[in-house]
Amino acid sequence: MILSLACIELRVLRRDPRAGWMLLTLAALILLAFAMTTWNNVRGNAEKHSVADAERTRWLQQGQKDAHSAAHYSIYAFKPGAALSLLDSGIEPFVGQAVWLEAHVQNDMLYRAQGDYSALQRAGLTHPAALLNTFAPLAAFLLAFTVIALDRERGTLRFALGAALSPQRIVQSKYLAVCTLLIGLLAAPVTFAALLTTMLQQTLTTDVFLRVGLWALTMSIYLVALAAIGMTVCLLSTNIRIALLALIGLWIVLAIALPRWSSSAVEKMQPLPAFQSIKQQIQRETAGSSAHEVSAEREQMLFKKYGVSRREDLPVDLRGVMLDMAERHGYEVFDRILGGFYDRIEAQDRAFAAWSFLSPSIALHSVSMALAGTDFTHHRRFIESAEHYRRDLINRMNAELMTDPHNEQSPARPLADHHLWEQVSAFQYSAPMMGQVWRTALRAGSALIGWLLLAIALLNVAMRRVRP
Amino acid sequence: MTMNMMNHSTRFSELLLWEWRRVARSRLLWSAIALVFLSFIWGASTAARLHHAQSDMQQRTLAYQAERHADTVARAEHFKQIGAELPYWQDPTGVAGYSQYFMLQSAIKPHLPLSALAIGGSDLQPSVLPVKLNTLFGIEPVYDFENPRGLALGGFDLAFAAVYLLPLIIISVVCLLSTFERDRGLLRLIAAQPVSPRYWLGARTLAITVWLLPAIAIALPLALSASGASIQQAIGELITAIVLLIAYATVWIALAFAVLAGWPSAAGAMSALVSCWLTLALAAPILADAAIAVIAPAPSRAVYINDQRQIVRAMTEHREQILTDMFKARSDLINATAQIPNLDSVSRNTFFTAEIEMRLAPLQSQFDTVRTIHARASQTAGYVALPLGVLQALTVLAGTDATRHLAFEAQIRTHQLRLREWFYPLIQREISTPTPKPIPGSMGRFNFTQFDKVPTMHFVDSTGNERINNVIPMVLWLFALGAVLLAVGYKRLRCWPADL
Repeated sequence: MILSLACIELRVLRRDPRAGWMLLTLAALILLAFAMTTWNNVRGNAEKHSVADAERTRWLQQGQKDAHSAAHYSIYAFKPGAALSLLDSGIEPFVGQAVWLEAHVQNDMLYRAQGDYSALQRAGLTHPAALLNTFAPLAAFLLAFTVIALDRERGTLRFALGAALSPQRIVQSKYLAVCTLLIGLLAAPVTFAALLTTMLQQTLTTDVFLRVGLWALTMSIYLVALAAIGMTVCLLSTNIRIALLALIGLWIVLAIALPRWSSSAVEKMQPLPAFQSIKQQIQRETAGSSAHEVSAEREQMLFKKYGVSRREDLPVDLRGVMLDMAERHGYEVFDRILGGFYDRIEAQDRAFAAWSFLSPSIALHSVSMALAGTDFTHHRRFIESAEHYRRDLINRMNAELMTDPHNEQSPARPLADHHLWEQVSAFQYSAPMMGQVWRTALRAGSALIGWLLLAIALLNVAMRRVRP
Repeated sequence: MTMNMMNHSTRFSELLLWEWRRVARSRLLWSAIALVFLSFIWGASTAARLHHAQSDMQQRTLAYQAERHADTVARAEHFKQIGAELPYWQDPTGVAGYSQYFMLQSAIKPHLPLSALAIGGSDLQPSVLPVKLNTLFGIEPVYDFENPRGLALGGFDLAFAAVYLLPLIIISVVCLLSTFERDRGLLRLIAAQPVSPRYWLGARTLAITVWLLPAIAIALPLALSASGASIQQAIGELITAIVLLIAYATVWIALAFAVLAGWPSAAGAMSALVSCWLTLALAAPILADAAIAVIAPAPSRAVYINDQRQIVRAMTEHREQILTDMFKARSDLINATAQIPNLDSVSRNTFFTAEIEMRLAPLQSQFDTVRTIHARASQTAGYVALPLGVLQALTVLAGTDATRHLAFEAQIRTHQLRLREWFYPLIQREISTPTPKPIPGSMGRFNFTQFDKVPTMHFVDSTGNERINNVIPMVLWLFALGAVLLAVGYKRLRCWPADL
């Protein structure tokens, strides 16, 4: 019975121009945003793959050169766009996409898409998740307003409730109709489009499939919770004007103001140190490692270790060992200072997710990015993977330098060639599986479920108060 | 006729006074005004906090520079000792080593007194940039790493509150306060009075306006002052910002008046106005961005990296030949070709950097052209997508706009070229005619000790008047648009609704 009543409600809603146009426009914008992010992702990935291949070829064909020169020449690593960035581009436009893996330095990831953009491009930057997050509440509230508040104003609700055996069923059928419309028009098309696109791109792995499924489920929970909130407000409001004001107010507060406010509040409570100061700290601790006095100290240490008093008597190549020592000192500094900075960013993200109790939008923001693989946790995995590769490459080059003592007694070292370059495998990055990076999503996801339960409970209370 | 007009104006002013008093009793109005104040104050404090942190960082950068400078001077003194000659990268008294490893210069873009008005691009574009001799085209692609989640979400700054929240507050207040009688069926009682619909709705809307606009005009300087902004240093910009927001609020009030002139219910009016808000704030920028991406797609940074690496590789492979040709073309170096195999990388770069830049220039020029097109498109789109236009105007007054940053970058490039003109001849002179050590056998080379004479950069900013002049067209456009919308509303308001 509820199903047939819901079908009737759907037909009524289809005829309502306000709700219909709003929903269709939002659905069209979501698909447009999907098309734009997909285009950017496909084009960006194709270029990155092509340049990464060229980099590998250049590395292998760099000819004969000193191994340390090769360590400086090194390669650029490119971060592939996440398979599901078409659903939620998350932080991608705001983080670098390439990193130069050279000796001595853990370079920053460079070339953020938004770094070059104009105000228009920043204002126009959107993706399906952002649109759903910010504007689906308005659509949900407008639908709830149409099926409850307007019906009540026209008197049709009173008539329907009076005629029904169970007034709650009428409200339930309206709720079902609203949820069906929201999920069917806003979440489902873009989910299917994502599945189809990943299938065509041959990136649809089990992990991606699981992520898409969970993303769709998360969006559905969000929409269903919003519909319940909207209907509760309409049922509890004494008149249409109060309902309208409450719904618009809730939309502004929950979807527009609170997410940004919470982000600012987290930044205020757990401020990040200025990145420049992080870099200065790194510079202070690493620049000394190539300074004259440090070199002299290390040289004496080596003399002591090998029981010699002259460079010429060392059984290892002094330059190679010096480089290796400086490099390993650098690794420790980067891990401690840069790693600590990244820990603080992740802590901020977790703190932001913890504010999900304020608004379901905050919860959705965190969960959606985590599921799409476009949050900082995923980004950090790439940074660490590239840095791991850099260290392997540099260590191999330094090992080559250290193998033979290169001193006045030994003939000049032959330059390294493709035999050495080939020993360094190509850089390959695999995005982490969902199971490895679920922590941020779990807290926000739990909050979202909490919001759903609360909204349903409130709706039940409101429904019990419904009288013809 | 004159008496009649005077009568009308007396009646209108009486009506307005009555409405003004009546509106003042509305809790909704005071809630809205409180919301404006709170959001402005919070917004200004958010931007101020970011900018204070950046200003502190600028000071720490200068202190770090001074510290490194002192260390360099001390090292130079120490390296007067007799001993084995230092490798060039450890020797600040060698011009090549100093220019690459010891010279630490940073260009600083200070925040303006009203920077708390808008975060603008200040969370993305660095306010401190290192100046290095051999950075291609002058600008290091570095940035201050802010939490990218926060960047993606956007900050809750004053501009956000004023540009996006304020219209929604205005829409809610005007719609709900102006449709009360319509929704309650009381409009027929008013229509029965000797008052024209233009007078009645005009007086009601104007009464709300008379409360809202002064509130905005007070909230803005109050929020800026509370955030610690030195508003007395930028009175002109502050007044312009107030006028800009009043003009923007006027457009939304006028739009609401035009919609309400059709006598819709509160629900109908709010639906229409929220749709307008969505169109202007969301749909217009998305569509304009999509269009500009098709018309002038940005060149790929991956391709840029590829080209740069190809060029560097090609030059490295043939570096001896390229350098020989360059040396032969110069009378001061023609006899120094034998030095080419022994050149350190810094000396080599004095020849290569300009060559690499020349070969990369076409691609760099594409980036510059597209950036200019996008900046112009952004300016133009602001006249249609009004929130974008007002946002840009606020960033201009705050000094967090893209144009100011571009000027900053251009001055860095000019300074870098000046540094090259200063250093390169010194470095290259050491190839052909090395300076003899003043202290024979010293650890340092001592061909360079003029640490204090190295040119430094000071950012020359635009004046407050220039910034105000940039914003005035938007202010005038908003007032013109507001006037047109008021005229539309006035014309539509010829009679009471037919269904009374």
